[in-house]
Amino acid sequence: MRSQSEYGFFYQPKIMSGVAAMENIPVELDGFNARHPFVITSKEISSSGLAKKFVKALYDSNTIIGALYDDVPAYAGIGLIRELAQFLRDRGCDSIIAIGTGSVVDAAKGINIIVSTGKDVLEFEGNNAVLGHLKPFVVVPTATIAPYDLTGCAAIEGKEIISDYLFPDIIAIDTRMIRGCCSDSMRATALVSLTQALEAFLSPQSNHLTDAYASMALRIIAEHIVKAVKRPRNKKTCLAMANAATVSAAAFHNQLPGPVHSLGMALSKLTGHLPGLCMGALLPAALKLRSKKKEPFRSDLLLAVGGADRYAESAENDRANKGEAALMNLISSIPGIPQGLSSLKVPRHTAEEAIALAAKKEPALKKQDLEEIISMAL
Amino acid sequence: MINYNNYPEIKPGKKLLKRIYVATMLFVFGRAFQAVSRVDRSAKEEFAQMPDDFVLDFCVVPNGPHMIVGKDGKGRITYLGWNPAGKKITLAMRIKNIEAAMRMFMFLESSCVATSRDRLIVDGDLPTACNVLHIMDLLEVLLLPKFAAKLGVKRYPKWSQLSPLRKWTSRLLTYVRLIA
Repeated sequence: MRSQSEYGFFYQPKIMSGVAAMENIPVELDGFNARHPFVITSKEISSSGLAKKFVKALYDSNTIIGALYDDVPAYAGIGLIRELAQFLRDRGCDSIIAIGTGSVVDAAKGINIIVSTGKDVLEFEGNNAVLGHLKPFVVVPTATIAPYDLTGCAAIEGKEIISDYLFPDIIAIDTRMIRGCCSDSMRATALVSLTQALEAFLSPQSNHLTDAYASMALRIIAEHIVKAVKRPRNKKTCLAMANAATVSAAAFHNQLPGPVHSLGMALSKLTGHLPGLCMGALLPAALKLRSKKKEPFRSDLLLAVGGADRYAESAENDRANKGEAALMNLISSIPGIPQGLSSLKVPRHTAEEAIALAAKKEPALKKQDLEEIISMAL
Repeated sequence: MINYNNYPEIKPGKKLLKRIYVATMLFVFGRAFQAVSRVDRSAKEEFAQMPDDFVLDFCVVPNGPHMIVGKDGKGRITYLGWNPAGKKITLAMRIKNIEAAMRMFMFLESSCVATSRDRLIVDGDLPTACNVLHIMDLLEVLLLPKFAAKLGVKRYPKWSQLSPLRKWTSRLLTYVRLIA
């Protein structure tokens, strides 16, 4: 074990998961002295009837929804965020609820910064520029969970804002909301969670708490990922994958992003593919690079991915190798996982652009490693 | 520009039928608390451990319904109705929402499972709250047929814990006192 005993760890949200989780939102908001939330979501979620389910879940409570804005597009620009912040102020709302993923959650975080600090959101670009508590913020995830949804990061206008204060205060993972629409979205969500958990687990900066969260996420993912992708409308596996996403986000937020995550996000930005698919295409290459460089895998990886029985029956010296093999097996068993970047039709020049983008964003990453991962994945 | 009129305020609706069902169940349980305290040995022991000023408000937040049960001047357990106004509540057990209450009172979740799923807020003495949950389990065993009670309690008592004679005597007497 290489876990460091001196570390900082932060994770804020109260997580409510399971049947009738949304019904708890009014009581929890009441704890923040908030009864007048501003709800935002996308047209897609609204038209699939999920917004109506949310409104019904708040029946028989003291919570009056200030407005349910259901027109957030897939890309939420700064203009819309500013307008929505003004809308929230005009309605006198005291909290924000985001139903959905990606741009909806990013927009909600942006609105929260504007209405809580009184300043423009773009002034807070970078790490830890938001230095105070914001308004109570609830996220109700749906089947697809984007990389930054459940963390303290927001991507607005191509700029990243990272702060501990951007975490949602409450995450309500409700069985009615998280049923997957299709295998593709479930696969993308699962691969993001797997990447976040794995890179946190294998990071040289890992500590006891990131280990605890990452290994738990890996355990849940290993158990459910194949079934979740094959049967994206299965309640039990969808709930498990949503929980894995939440737990892996906690580990991810407390570590520096790894090469696969950084490259995956950069490729997604450049090509328009879902970040999970890009990460899935790069993951085997990154693991092969690790083996090539003879960086040892942790022995407890087998416990997280292979299960307690396989861990117990393996000799101590073999556990690291068996853990690596179990991980590779798990990745290759995911139905429809992209077989390298060629299957996503990513041209070499775009991949090179992604390397430059990832290296610029995360200076701690070695450019040579990024290049090798890309060349192995192409 | 956003047209504010397209996004009106949404006031929470009512789940009237569910409220009526939960209110009825709380009324029955309140009366049954009073009845079982007079007829069953283990219930008497549980109630004896409670303080003399014990008044329980078992309710659904935020707007009820409520079930108030407490000890009277002579130390007997009495059902005090549904209105907490003017009563000195020593133990408040609040179910977080009407759906959670429905799951409990439709016996889809036992009180133990509901507690572990964070559906209850307890304000007051914790050991007394545990006593109340024990009595609720006992009431479910006495009032409901076995197949339904099994869903609602953590462990259905074995013969050695609750003999059929005692179960049927307590069941009969509780029902008689409940209706009378």
